[in-house]
Amino acid sequence: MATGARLPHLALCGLGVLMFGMVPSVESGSVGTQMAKEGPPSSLSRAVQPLMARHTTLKQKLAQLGPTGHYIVVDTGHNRLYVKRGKETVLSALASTGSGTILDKPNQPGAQWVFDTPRGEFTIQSKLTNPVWVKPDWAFLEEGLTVPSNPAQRVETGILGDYALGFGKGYFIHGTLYPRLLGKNVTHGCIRLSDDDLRSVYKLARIGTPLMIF
Amino acid sequence: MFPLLTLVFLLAAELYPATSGAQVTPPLDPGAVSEANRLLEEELKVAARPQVYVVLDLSRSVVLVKGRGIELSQIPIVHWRQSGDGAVTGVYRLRTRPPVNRPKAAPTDTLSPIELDDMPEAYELEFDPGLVIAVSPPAGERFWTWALTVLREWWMFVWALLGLGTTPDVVNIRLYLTLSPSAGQSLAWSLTDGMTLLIGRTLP
Repeated sequence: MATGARLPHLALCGLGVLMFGMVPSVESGSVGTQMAKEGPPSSLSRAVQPLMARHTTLKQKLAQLGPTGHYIVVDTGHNRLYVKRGKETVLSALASTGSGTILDKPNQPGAQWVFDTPRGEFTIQSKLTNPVWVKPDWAFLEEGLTVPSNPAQRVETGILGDYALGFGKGYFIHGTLYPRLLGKNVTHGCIRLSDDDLRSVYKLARIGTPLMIF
Repeated sequence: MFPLLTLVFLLAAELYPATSGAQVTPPLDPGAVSEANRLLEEELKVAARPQVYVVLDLSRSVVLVKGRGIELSQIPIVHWRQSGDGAVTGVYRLRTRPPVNRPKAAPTDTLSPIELDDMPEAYELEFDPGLVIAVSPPAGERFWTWALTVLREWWMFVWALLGLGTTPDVVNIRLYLTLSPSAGQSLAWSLTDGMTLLIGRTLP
């Protein structure tokens, strides 16, 4: 089956080489073929043993770099949040993450807010109950309002849900007033969860719990 | 005429790949284990820092998105091929992620956000040092996108042959990845500017 399928491919690639010289030197499948050409099985296995021992050591070292307790993984493309421990998924939740839209900053030519959820590795830095939202400038500008000079006018309660977990630079995992938008990219960079999932994440996460966002 | 023939040849290569499956599991031999060990040694350095990185394992035809050595996501490769000199294994750094059209808000506007479906299915990624990865969908799923990618490749080849191409930086190796449309979009989404890419072999 595989050999039959190869024939037209090889013939056509051969013609391609003659005519264009652009057929690849390596491609899918050729890696395994190269490997099979090496020595007889007994000598192979003897030679492989110390290398495999080294491989096991390196894998153990790599595993030691991973989190020892719970950690959180956020897939911003599919708007999913997972709490994991080792390879086990403890919680899988629908989330909302950054919309990726931009907003010009007033009176600052060229400066913009970019509403992305930041990617990379973070840690949970704060755990809050009954959090209040201190509205940033963009929240007023988006609504066509003037940015207040009195800081007290920025505070709103009941917006972020019962809990919030901060992971730096003003970004939080928090609740939502709009559960129908879970699973969509609608936020200004924070990660929104349903009330139940937020409660579970709050219980499982500690200060210092790793958070990986991709 | 030549572009058309190229298209036909490469279409045949796409439809009749060199192997019957997407991936080949090589026998355990010293070369394979040594290569896997080299990758692990490099990955240990990368995973020690707080960052998300990508591992491209051509022997298993898979792209892995990882952090701290943990696999966060797996993107299957339908088919791949390499052109250029030398081994592609090593550590690379992505210059910029694929461009995306960001909607700009005005006060009181309601905007459509950027979603996975807005990401490109065909694109080129430039890495330092000297690597370009071209991602395109399979001919069977997006024929015209695939055909445009191949024609572009042919055009660049001819252009380079004639010495007319502008090559500001040295590109030693070009890697062509065929990914399903959704896998191509997932990869484009997962990438960030300056991201580290490791290419090598992993053992199951």
